[in-house]
Amino acid sequence: MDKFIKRYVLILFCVLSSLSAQDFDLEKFTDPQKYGWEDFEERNHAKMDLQERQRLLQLYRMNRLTTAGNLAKSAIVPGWGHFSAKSYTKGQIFLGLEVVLFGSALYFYDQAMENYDKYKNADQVDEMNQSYNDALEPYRYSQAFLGLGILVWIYTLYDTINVTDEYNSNLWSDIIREYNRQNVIITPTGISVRF
Amino acid sequence: MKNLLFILVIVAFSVVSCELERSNPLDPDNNSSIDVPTKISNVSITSSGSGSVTKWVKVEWQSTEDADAYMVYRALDYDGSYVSIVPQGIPNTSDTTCSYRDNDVYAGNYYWYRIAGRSEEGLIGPLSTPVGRGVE
Repeated sequence: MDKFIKRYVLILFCVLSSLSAQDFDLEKFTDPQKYGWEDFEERNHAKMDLQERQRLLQLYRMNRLTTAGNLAKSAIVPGWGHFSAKSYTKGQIFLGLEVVLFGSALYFYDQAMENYDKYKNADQVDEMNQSYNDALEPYRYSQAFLGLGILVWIYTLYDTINVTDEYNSNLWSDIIREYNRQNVIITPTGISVRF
Repeated sequence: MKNLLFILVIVAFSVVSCELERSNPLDPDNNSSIDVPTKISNVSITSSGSGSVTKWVKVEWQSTEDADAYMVYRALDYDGSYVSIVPQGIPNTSDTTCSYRDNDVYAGNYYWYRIAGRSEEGLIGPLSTPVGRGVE
């Protein structure tokens, strides 16, 4: 008896399920007006447009510069980040400034250390004081140049962030401009000709 | 990111503000236990006569209490480069005057001498005023 009831319920469920399946409206499911499209052609056009935008986005992602990567470049060689972002004039200025400032710092530091070594090895009080005073002046110059060099280096890092952002925003504009200028576009789905 | 740059500026200033250390162990400005020997005064000089076969110059000075030894420097010009001619130094004795006879001299030259006291720790005090003498 119990077995019979179970079988009856199962048959009833299958019959009701098939009845409800007949209510599925394929037309409604593929309604082109669902997203405001008038017909299938317009829907296809939107689909193509979406694919184009994805392609352009991919192009942008491939060519854009990351802020962290560019910062690392500028941290290693001041101006490198600017060169990558095609800001050549700024890159040359920063690189030149850093070479001059750090070079001068190194030159004066070398002079200071030469006199400082004399001071450390001196055993005569006059020579000791003279060598120390001779070391002090170039050491202060080297510190001043080093400080300026570090400040310029920090400003270079700061400017790299701005330049990278500017480069990325210009890159997107350039991609769109270039895309709009093209009359013939080869896409994965075929060739599009614009008049 | 801007906070990090600000921290970098602070670090830069702290690095740059480091002063050159007076690290010489004999430096009285670094080691307060070291006394600087007083400047030698009353330095007199004599030399061998023109008839003498062996040529010499003798330097004499008044001894000081704070010197363990004396250093003798010589140059050929008043403002020239004075070189120590007795590297080990002349020990201080209880005598009131000390002297040094320089036999390494040649006729026709004019020699300038300066004397300085050396402390027990090895610090050489200020050099005396140069005194000069020609060798005939």
